[in-house]
Amino acid sequence: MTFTQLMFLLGSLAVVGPIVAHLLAKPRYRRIPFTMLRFLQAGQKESKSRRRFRDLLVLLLRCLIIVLIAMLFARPRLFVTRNIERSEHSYYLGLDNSLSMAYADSRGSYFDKMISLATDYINAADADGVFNICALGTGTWKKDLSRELAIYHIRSLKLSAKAADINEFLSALKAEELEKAGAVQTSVFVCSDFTPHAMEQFFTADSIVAGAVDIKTVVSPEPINNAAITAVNIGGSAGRITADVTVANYAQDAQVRQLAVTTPDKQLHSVEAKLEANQQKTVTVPLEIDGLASENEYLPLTFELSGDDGLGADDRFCLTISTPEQKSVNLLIADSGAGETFLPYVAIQQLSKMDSAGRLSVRQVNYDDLRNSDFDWANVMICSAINEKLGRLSTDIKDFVQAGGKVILFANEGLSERAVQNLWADGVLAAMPNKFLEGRQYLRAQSDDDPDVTAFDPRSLKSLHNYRVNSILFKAVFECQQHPESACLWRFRDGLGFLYCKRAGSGTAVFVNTSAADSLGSLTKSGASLAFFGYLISRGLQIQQTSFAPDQRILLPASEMERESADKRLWVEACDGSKVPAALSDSYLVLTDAAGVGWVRTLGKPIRYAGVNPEPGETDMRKPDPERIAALGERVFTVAAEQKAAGVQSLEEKEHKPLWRAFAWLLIGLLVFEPAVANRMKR
Amino acid sequence: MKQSRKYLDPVLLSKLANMNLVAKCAVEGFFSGLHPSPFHGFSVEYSDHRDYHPGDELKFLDWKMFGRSDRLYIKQFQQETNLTAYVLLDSSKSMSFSGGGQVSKLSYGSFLAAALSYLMLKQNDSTSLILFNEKITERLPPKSRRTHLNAILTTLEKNKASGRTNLTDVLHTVAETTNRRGLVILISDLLDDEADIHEGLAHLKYLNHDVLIFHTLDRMEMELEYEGLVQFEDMESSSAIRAFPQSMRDSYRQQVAEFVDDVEKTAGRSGIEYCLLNTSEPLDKALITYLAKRRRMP
Repeated sequence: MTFTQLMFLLGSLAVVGPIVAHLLAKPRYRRIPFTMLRFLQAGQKESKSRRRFRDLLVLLLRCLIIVLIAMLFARPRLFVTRNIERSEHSYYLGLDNSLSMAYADSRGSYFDKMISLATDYINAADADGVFNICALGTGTWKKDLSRELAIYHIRSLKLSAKAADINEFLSALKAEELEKAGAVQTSVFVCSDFTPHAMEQFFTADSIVAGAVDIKTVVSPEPINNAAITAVNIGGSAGRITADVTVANYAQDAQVRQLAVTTPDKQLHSVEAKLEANQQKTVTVPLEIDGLASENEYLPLTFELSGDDGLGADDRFCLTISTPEQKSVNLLIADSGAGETFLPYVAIQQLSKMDSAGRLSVRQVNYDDLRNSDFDWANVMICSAINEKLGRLSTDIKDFVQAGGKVILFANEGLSERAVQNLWADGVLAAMPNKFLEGRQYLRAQSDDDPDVTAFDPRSLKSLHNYRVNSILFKAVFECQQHPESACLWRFRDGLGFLYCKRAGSGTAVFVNTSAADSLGSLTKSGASLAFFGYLISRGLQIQQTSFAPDQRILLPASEMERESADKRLWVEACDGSKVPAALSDSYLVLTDAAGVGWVRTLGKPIRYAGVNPEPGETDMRKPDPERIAALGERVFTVAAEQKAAGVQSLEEKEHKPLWRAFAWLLIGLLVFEPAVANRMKR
Repeated sequence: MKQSRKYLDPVLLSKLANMNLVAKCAVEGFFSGLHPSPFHGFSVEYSDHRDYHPGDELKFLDWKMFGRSDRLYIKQFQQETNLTAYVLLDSSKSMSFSGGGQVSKLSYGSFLAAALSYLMLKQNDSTSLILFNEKITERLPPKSRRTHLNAILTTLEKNKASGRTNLTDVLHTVAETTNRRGLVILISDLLDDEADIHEGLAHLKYLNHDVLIFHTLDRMEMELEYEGLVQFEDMESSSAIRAFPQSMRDSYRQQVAEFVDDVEKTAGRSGIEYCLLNTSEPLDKALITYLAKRRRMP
């Protein structure tokens, strides 16, 4: 037996009262002169022992009443493990509760239809079967359920903002298949709207053996008229900002929708979007936000399609933008501990002292000591060498760059091949160093042919040129293979690349083809090291945009007051309007579940926003081809006719029964019984 | 209760000014309420008649009585009724118990003794009064003059309960100090060793006395109708018992009943008349018992 509210058990200590009263009580006797005492003596012993018994019994009853009252408030529950006989028939239900299932026509939503189908399936199933339910939108399982519990859980399912994760369901099925190895009859039920994203996962899955397979497609018999904003890319620079809004029309008919761009305070622009059937179109919207951008470090923009098309969650796209002048630089210098970043660190420290606006902050960390909080804090990262340790951090660096960070990697003799491969595979190595070249190289003067990537501030480049950097010799240079998506911004005189730059997500990956330890001394001697690093870490004039997918960690910049707060959990408003706690991690508030799509915003002022948008393609509501679905069912599931007939399996089922009623009746009985005992035994 | 019986009510008697009134009220009240049998023909002016038996001398027939009642009675001369009665009244401390009522056992016993003395002296029987506790405290020799009644009543008025009970020694003393056989009337609560009491009584019977016991008990002594926690303190000793009367009432009553029963059986075996008196009840029961006894005596 357990208790839900354990604190109330402390009330049992009140039994001390009756016990103390019992011990201290002195009975008062009336003195009466009498004559026939000899007839009293025989009954006296009996009376005394009976009285003692009565007193003890009454005391016990009163103590028991007090304890029962305390236990009643503590809400007792009894865990009952009962052996139930179940047939060896396991049912696996994959129920799609992803965002696309929120689509609704005149008959109701896909989600409600799915609940109904799943409930019918369970009701028609073997009453003694064991049911396992996977919510495809969240990837969560509920296993070994009875029929009643399975129906209860199905009806408790909620829509998720995430895309369906079919792989999780199929992987678990595969694992169950291997474990049971045909000893148990299995039946699989999948219910989904089978968006292209979901179907794609089926086609890449391994084959699974099952006794019976039932695939139900939830699709509206009415024409689909859903359109969605799938992507927004902010282009231009300060003073000339545009938004390329990609709108997909999944409807079978053309439609005209109004596309509006708003900030929390006002509407910026509205443009008409004419969409052909099954067409994806990019609409360019000019944004007059100069004044607003200069006031707000992170300006929230909402792009929204007008009208009701059955699914409103994908008609809106939320992102924040920041202009270069407003963005502060949190620079993280990561090294292996051998001191190779000494010169960069000195140079950057000097730069930070010169930064009167106080926008440059520097932190130096060993690779081994790097934490998520460091990545959360920084927006520019300098890595002194490509070694094994850096290779292990490749995924973190990729996430960092994707979220809008800038990583600057220096080459070094003896770099790690594996690390290079990892960084290259994750798309954060702008050029792959191949052959190490002995000797020294001079930089070529910048020409008009060199690409203007606008990843760097051109003013800082001009400043660097004042130092005649093309007369500086650089050592430890590699022959490099340029990444197809990167640009070489600067070359050596013999044509080898010196500075490569690549866009990745919202951020930038920079590769400097020289050793930080060997070459920067020359820069320092020439006095150009400050200008060089000022150029490297500078923010381009490019507008930074930030938005998140539902399965990503949401980052909100923390205000100064929040950063100084002793409380490491601060409340924010999630997408569904609920107040949820966010963890304070250096200069960001981190939230793991945005509770939907839309805006996450801080409660404290100034209000900061983070936009959460559906996965691209998740709400592709084009009706799936039934033949294709049938084909994927046949491809993925193999029906094994030789699965043995359902036997009987003895299982343990645990349930907890609330006991408060029994305690309440017992208490009532004692409260009635106690005075009766006390009075009856007085006679 | 009949109007006349109220004069037998001990509570009423206790309100009377003196024992003379008590005796007179009790006796007159008793006789005025009587129906003819079994004491047919008796009156306050008791004339010593008895029923006619074949063989009696016809010259002693009371023809006036015959004319009145159509029944034959023989006149008895004073000398024939010269009975000596010894009234033994227990005056130990236990007799002062009243149980919360208005009349103590001693008062009740005194009323009875007074009434009996009144009755006997009217009848010209010699009456002796003996008061005792552990020993005889007061003794009036037997006399038949009606003026002796005053002495008896005065003695009864002045009597106070004191001392412990020692019935056995007193009975032996009475047995040894009486010259003439007579009627020994014992008014007591008999709170002494039963075997010793029986021994004493047997001594009296051995000397051919007629013995009549009036076992006087209070209602509370018999019923133990006390509530709550009580410390019972013995009236003659310093012992005390703490008890919860409700829980022991039944066993107590049973023991008292057994005690009374034992005494009655013991008395019966010895040919001793026994009468249990409840001090809350009128005196007529006691008087009837006496008269019935008296009647059976030669």
